[in-house]
Amino acid sequence: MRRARPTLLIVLALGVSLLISSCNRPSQEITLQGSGATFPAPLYRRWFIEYYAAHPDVRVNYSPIGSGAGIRQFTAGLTTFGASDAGMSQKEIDKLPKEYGGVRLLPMTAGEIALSYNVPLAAPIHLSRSTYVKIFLRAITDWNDPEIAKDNPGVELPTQKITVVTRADSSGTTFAFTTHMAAVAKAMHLEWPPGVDKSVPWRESIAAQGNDGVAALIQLTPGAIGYVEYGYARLAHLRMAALENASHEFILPDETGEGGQRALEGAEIPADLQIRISDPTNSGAYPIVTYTWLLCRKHYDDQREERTIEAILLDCLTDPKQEVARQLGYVKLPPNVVDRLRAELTQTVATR
Amino acid sequence: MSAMDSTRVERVEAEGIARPPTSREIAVDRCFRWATRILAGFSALLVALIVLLIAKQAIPAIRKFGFDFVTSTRWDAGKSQFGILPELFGTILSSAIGVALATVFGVAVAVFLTQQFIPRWLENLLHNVITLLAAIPSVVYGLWGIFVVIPAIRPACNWMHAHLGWIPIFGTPLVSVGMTPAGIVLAIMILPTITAVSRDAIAAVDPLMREAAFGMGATRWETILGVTLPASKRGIYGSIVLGLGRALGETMALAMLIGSTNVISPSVFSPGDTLAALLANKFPEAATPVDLGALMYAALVLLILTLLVNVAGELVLRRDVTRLRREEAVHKPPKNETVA
Repeated sequence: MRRARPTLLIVLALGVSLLISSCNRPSQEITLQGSGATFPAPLYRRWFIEYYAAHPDVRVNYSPIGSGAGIRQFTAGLTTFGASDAGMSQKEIDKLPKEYGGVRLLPMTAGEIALSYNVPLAAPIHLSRSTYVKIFLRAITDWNDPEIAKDNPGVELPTQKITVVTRADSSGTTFAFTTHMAAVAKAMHLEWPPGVDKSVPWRESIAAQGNDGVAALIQLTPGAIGYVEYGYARLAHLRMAALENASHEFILPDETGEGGQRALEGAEIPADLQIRISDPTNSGAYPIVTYTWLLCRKHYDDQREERTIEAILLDCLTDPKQEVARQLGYVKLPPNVVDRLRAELTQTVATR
Repeated sequence: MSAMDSTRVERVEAEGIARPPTSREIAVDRCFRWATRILAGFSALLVALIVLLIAKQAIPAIRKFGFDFVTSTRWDAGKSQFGILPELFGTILSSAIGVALATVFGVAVAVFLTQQFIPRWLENLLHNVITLLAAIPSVVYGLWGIFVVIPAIRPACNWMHAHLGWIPIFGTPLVSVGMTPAGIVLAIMILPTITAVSRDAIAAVDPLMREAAFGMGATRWETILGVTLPASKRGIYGSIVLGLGRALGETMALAMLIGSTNVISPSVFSPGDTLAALLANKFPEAATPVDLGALMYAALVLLILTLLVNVAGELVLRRDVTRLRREEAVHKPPKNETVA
């Protein structure tokens, strides 16, 4: 191993320098590298490709390797920016190198988490707050349980066991979902033993990797129910449940993203921009919604890099780009968050 | 013309052979010898290094959790509780199902391909087709398992659960992913290994032995079961051990088919988890040194497990060989007597 490393490095360095020298013909071209959460990856890629089309000298690569790995690479200085569905904990922020001048956590987009199921029903099933918490706690194990029947009067429910499908890997989606479940359980005076984390010990569930893996497993398993990002559930044509929100309305996640937008409205914006919506109380709000954050340094050694990334992110906040987000199944940012982000991004430009 | 040519060639060759090696040839020879030595040593060193590096990173976790790690059943990174008993159980059960199926089919195929049941060209064709199975990527096997195997076997499995559910190994229905689909896909993945190695072993049996058996009036069936298979036992065992080694470490297809759930169930239809799948699922986002240490500990356990299997296989083979030798020694004297 030790013997091979220097030669490997030399070969790599040669390869990279060759690549750079061959690509570098327009001298002012700049390439930014980002990595992290898988959930916003389709949107980020679309945004960055559109930006590249308008500004051919700016390339942005984004590799969806998961929130935790994204934070690690960002901390190690391997990437220009990171991305995380769960934001960053104080512990993680403390580990960042000093020369970053701190981290900027930017909630660039938000998404709804759908409860998808595989039971042949004509209309979307209605699940009340206590019902869906109990399903994931395995207190309700049959589709024709009286509590589910009470939420769905007049619907012929099948005699079938419920199979819970969860995420096998550690993920921001699980973090957002368990945050919401814990909040609802608390409001319902129920215990929530799994806890809140990016990976939790579920009781009796089958698990798959990634949002797409969970979607495939739900499709495959009769009687299954699981949590999937709305965009992925729509892509797999899964049935989605209408969930009861804190104001006792049953809301379905849908194309317009209205329920999600309602949920984001009026949420308090903390100083570090880690906006948590554990249990939205607005009327018409879809109950399980989460922001996803892009992580930038407050100070970049390369001034051009700093200006470029700010320009890109400001561009992503414009209305057409936010409309792209909605089309891809994400939730448009509410105006107050957009204003706040714009201020955050331009303010540093002004101080320089 | 041709006679002249051939004498010239002979003369040149004679000179070439008589000539002492030049210093260049000696140098090349020495360099080559050392290069092979270094490379051979290097590969052994690599194995040792891998084990050492994993062990080194696992040491904090070994100190902290000790042997409880192997006997407890909970994996909760948030609470720093780590136990791999369900994964250990799942690894062994899924591999056992896979190896059992693959042995039956693999040895049967190997016999079929060597005992002149079909023309030689067809034998070669079939052999190549089976070898091609080894070239299919693991992910493709996983997808194939999800979309083809599971829907195909589900009715039969659930029928068995409905009618034979009182037997613990059929105690749960097959919802979708689980031990049985994982084992079936594993069996197909290790089929080429078992078939190729046991085919070579069976083909290497002295044809005189077979002919002698036929000569004594044995049927083809009796010859295969009584002579050919026992004579190639060692190679067949070897193929099973190789297959088991691959089955234990198989990751991607199993991560997709096993269900990744923390339960120990005697039912072969129940979902479960394997060590390799656990590593694949938890490694990318293991954030703290404690998490990483626990995963390295799990990797070390998997390594030791495969090592034990290989050693056990080796021991079985050796015992088999010594027993054969002893039998030979027992049988020889009377033979000599009759000759005398």
